[in-house]
Amino acid sequence: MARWIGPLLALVAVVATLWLAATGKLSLYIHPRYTVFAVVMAVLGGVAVLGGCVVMLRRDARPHHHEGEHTHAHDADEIGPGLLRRPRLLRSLTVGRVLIVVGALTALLVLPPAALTSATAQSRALATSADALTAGSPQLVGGDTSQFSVKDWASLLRSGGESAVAGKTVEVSGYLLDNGDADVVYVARLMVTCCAVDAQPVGIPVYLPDWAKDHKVNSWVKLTGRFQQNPSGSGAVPVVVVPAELASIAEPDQPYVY
Amino acid sequence: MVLTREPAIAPARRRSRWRPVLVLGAVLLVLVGLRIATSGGTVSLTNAVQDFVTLSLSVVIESLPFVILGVLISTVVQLWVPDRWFFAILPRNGVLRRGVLSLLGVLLPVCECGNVPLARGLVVRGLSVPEAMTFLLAAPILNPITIVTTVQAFGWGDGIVVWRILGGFLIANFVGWLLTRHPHPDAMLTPDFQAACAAHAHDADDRTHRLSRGARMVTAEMSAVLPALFVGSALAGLIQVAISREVLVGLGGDPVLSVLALMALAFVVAMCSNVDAFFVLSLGSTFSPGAIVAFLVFGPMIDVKMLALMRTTFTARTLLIVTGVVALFVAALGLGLNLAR
Amino acid sequence: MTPWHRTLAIVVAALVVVVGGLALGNAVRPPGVVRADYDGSALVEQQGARVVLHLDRAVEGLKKADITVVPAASFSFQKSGAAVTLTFPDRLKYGVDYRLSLRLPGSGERTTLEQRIRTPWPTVRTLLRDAPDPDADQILSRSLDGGATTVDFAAPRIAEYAELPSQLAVTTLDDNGAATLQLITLPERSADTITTPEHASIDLLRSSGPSGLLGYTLTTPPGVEPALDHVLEFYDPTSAAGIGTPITGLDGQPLSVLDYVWVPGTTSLVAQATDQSLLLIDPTRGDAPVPLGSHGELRGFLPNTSTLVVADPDGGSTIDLTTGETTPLAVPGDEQPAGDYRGEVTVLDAEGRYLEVVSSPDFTRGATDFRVVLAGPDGARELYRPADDGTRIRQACLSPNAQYLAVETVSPEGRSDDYPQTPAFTAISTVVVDVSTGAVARGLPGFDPSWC
Repeated sequence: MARWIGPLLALVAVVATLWLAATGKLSLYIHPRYTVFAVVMAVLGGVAVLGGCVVMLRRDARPHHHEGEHTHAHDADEIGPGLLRRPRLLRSLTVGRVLIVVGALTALLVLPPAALTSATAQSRALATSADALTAGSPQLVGGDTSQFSVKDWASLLRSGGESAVAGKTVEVSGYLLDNGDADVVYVARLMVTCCAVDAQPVGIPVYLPDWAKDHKVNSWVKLTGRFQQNPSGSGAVPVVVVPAELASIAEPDQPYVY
Repeated sequence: MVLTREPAIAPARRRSRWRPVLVLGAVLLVLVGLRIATSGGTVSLTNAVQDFVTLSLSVVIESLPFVILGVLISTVVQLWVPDRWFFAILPRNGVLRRGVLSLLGVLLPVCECGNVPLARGLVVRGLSVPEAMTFLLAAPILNPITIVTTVQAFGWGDGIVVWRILGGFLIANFVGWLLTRHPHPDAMLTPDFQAACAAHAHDADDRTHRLSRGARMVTAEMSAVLPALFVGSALAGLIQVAISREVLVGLGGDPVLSVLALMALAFVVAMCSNVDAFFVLSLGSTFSPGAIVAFLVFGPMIDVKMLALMRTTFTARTLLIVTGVVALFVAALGLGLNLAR
Repeated sequence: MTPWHRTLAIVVAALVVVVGGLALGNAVRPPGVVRADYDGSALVEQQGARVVLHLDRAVEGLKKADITVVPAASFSFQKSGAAVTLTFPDRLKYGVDYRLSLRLPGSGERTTLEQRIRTPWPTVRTLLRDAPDPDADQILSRSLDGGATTVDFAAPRIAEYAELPSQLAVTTLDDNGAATLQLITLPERSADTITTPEHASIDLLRSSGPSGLLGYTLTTPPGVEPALDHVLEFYDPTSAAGIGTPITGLDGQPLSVLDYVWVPGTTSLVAQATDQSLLLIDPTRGDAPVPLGSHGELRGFLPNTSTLVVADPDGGSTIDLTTGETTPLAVPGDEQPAGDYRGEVTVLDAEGRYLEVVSSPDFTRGATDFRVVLAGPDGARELYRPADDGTRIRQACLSPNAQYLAVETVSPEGRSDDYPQTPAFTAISTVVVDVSTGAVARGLPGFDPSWC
């Protein structure tokens, strides 16, 4: 078992990675910039592991005494000399390994791929730093803003300031995020810098008086509207999107922004 | 080992030559079939369980390519790089030698999870434990990709990049020096790994069948590292679901607490050093520069996933010492920067 | 204890002492400002712009009296954790070093944090009809504090222009006097034409400012179909539709207007229909227009408010568009000689301070002398008088933050330039006058400054 756990886990992970890549769902877990790297390494790793397995199986198949000088070497690889004298520890290690393999099989190959639920997102603070969002921030002047995502708008709002977005029309989708204002709700998405572990909500403020009455936090919406001065005058958020339309939608297949 | 009882006659032998391929093909088919068979289904888990699975998997899937790369490089270094090349470029003087080793990441820009197999390979090749630890701690920070992304995120202006590089170098070499004071450096390795080293020394002269030895080393290395990776990833996912991140992020700009909070966050998030600069930028506007430097120095050296991976090689006591000393040193660095501001 | 354990203990103990000392040092240090977040141009261009001061730790018990802003500006403040947000309801002054100081209620002596904020200078555009190249009219832009002048657009004859956030809307005239409405995207200067009916003249070209809409009226000469008489249209430059949308009145028919004005910072406008009734309309929404009653004349908004000033033959009043409330505006006398002509009035605040263009005819010379008078509850004084006698004032417009007045002056030798739309004068230029001192801040070539 000990000798085979690595190849088995590797094959499970490689098959899962390649299948996710083939079905376009790899980006539910990692930033798309890693897709090529992940696929290439998965193929290389898969080939190397399969090669190793063939070699190991063939050696096992050969008469023992023919290659006797090597057997103690791979026994050592397998469990180590110290453990051979401690059977209880050895047994609990074996149970642990079985658990790891079963867990990996279930998580990687049985459960359907899923994005982070926005419940987790809700417990994470809204990304507010201008600098964070400016990395690769869009050039607005003369640029086509019709394809702007929540992240593009949020970054423009933070870096260029209120005057950079005023008057622009917005068409985005995202989930509703409560930032503690009765009249202003955020339409947000999770921004992934590396993998889903670091997902961080980014959002743009939307003027929707008493929004909590008609809308549920975390529900997905499609928003069209225009940035203008916050009519509520509370001053906490100077520029907001005044919606022309706010329609409920199902959660999209690709809920993150990158 | 049932097959060894078979009479070694020619047809059976030919069959046994191809049997492994058939067995592996069958295993692969089962795995792929399992995935395809279950792909249509929907399983409704509670949000917390679903997110735990998603977060853990994202760490596994993100780290796996780096681990594979590290294993492959490690195997190549062990088998194909001659001793005289490798050790000729290293100075004999201990301090200089560790200094050069801490810069090895410049040549091998692998994320920290890939460095563990590589460091294991280097120890097998004869590197001492303090030297391997210096490499492990320094390489994730002192590598071109990390430096470039940190500069992209912060620029040279506020000194964060400089302190990250300098802090990483100093701490790695300090810890390396400290471990040289240990009376029996090899005792810091796990018994299993010591045995593996001994085995390598035994057949080091065997230059035949390098390819098949390499293939075996890859699988052996995977068996050592991957279980640790899965356990570490599950831990990272679990902590993320259990602890609200706002608790850590909410501490904001406090000159003392923010340093400790971001170090705790770095330990929990367990992300690759290549991109952690962007992550800490996106976290919030108010963290003190000392806290950011602490995050950027501590995270690549020590985190949940790294500890699980390093545990394959080093004893728990060693890791406790290294973690403690690194944490104290990083805290001093972060607090010092905040005080100097 | 082995040497190894001793070394380890010494190292750990030393590090613990260092960390403890540094932590203590940080803890006793007074708080500081980590960073200040603000959008300089929003501070001078928009109401309710913010400055967020990120302190390095939360401070307790901060009161408004502990915060001072120099030079004085009204503000409100909010505190959340270690962030202190100052919101300025009024636009700040251009090109001024504001000093924000926070007196922190600390233990023992009180410490003061200071943050300096430099507001930017605005870019002012003017229309130049007597350009060095006699065949081209130019739209010039330059920063108010000086620097190079840029030609944003040039065409043989330009009637009007309006500024959008990253574009210019321009009406040009061809040799026959037919008007074309174009959108010029800056800085590339690529042009798109907004389709308007053939032979229609385009007037009252006005931008809603930061909210980015364009309004204009269309009029066709008698006998030309469709018959249009100052029909109000709006255009959304982000839609790329290429054609404007008529604005409809209460009856759902396209609205003919005498005048209209955009409500600052919004997508709404107040239109004065041909029967003098005022309607509040948001053309981007389908909502019905809100009637505001009938008034003789639109006089713009009180600076930094959504309060509209209207004038009737029997006096002025203000309409607060956030509540719909109409209040009579008591305007103090201007203390000018009875024989002088009262021209354009710009009301500065609800207390009734106002600027007035006054002209006194000098029949002995056969000329008229113009001046700008600042009047208010505490008396009236002359704010600005052109250097040369006989210089006329065509119009005067206030900057959005009410800091400067742009005055269009026509030298005595100036003659009408005979443009079929928006006629002006030759020898016309613009001076920018500081409203608080009357000092001339800058002279600009051309006329129709972007504040008008």
